[in-house]
Amino acid sequence: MGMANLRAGPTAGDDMATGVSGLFRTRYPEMVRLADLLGADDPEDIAQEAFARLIRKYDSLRDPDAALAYVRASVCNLTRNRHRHLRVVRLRTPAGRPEESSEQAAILREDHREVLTALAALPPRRREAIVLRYWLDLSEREIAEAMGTSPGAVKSNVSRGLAALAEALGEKA
Amino acid sequence: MNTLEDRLREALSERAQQSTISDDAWARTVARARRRRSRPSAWSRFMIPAAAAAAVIAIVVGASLLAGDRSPRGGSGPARPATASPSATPPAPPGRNDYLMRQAPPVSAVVPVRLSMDGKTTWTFVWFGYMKNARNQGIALCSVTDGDNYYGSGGCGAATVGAGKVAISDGGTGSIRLGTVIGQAASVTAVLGDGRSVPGALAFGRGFPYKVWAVAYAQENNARVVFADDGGHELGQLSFRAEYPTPSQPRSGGIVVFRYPAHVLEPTAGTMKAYLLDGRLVGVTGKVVGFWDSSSGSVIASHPASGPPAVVNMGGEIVNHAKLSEYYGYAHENVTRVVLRLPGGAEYGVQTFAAWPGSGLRLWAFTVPSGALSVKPSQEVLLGYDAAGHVVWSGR
Repeated sequence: MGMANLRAGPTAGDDMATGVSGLFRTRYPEMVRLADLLGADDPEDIAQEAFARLIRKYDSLRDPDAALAYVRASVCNLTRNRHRHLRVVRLRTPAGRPEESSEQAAILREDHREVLTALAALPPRRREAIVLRYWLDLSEREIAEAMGTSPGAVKSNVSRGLAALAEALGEKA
Repeated sequence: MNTLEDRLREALSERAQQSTISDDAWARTVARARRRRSRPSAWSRFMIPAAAAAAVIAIVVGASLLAGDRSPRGGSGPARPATASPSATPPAPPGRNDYLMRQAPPVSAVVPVRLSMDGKTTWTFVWFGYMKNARNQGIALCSVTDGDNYYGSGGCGAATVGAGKVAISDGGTGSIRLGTVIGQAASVTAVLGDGRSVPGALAFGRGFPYKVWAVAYAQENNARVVFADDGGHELGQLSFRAEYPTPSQPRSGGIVVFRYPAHVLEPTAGTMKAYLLDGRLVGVTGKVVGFWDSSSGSVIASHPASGPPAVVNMGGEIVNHAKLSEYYGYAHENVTRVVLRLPGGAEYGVQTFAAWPGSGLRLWAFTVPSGALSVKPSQEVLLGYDAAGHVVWSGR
């Protein structure tokens, strides 16, 4: 089999792009912000890649209503992948705070900065669960879908994440 | 004082407003989606022909072995790996604009590895590259997995096998473990905690500094991944601890611990039920207690139901949008009352009630106004009293 066959998609991309455009219009900023809050170093890049993947797979989605869940899951996955990359980088580089620029730090309220710093220190899955719960206000079922895990695991991640945040913020109080 | 949840919401909301949005984002997204479809030639030199790749490196993990069926292949010895069928062709590989492709552009072939487990097939594309801004970290192994809800998950990690070592793990994703191994390796097998063997796949392609190993097995098993040379001699092994999935809710045996109305703990009304489970499901020898909430999933104890501690608190953190926080759990039969003592001295508590006959366990649940709870749960004390009013257990 030649490589062309490998790459051939089921249909041309234009129809799919049209189908995705409405969702993009209403949800793109939210996905950028989600990637940003999850600690992506290039949130727009993550969000664009997530929507590009949706365009490629749009006609294979069994339920059009699943498109938003698919994009959310992609943003979480892609950001987590990026974290894995960064984790390796950080092994041999001095510890820093890559999560926010000095300009952002200056703009944020002091107490919010404390919360966000503590949030950034959480393991990725706990951070994801917390952000999806408290920023997007998703149900545990929706969070589980986005994270590719069970509602029980979501409950556990939220609970342990909150406990860790409380502990971290308490120590600084 | 704001609750931790309020502080979180405010901080996230403020931070989110600082994200920047480009005007041409849609055009760039569509272009990105189209580029992958229309320009195959520029990086096809990195690919090996799909049929050849499948024939050389694809090994199907025996699903029956993973399901515990030992008989067809003879005891717990290695299963005969199934070879890829001619029709088992990989899906489209990640394109040049795939996120990981851009983070670590391939300097080797991009090789598909087919694995299957429980009848579901996944394709993992692996390649070597140097991570942007981190070339000095050395060569990295990257992987992207598609199929069975993997949605292109994967990542890049250090690939160098250190002096004196045989193999390293790059982690993997879901049920898949993978990494790099020295060239002498001719086979890779995951030996699970109960002795079953699961054959894995070795991949090699143009420009690979090492072979890539991959194996898929149910992660609730402890596993040793064993590497052997072409003479069958063991070269080395890596160990992985079990990770346990949440078991399904049993069909019977549940005891209602408490009920709650809508918009108090969860948006919808619900019931919390407790079940006595077979501990092997969650990695504990013996029985454990699990709680299933009708509206939002389950929580499973990680303690054996027999033996200490005398009181197990399964819930009670500040979660959801709750006006009330529900404290609930189980206790041993000598505990007749459970009390939460807050830092200011306030106490909330309840009598325990008998659980499953013969289990020696009791259940308990009570509510606490969320506003009364501290953001420092470490300062809260949970007390277990016996019938005579003596504290028989305390913990934070």
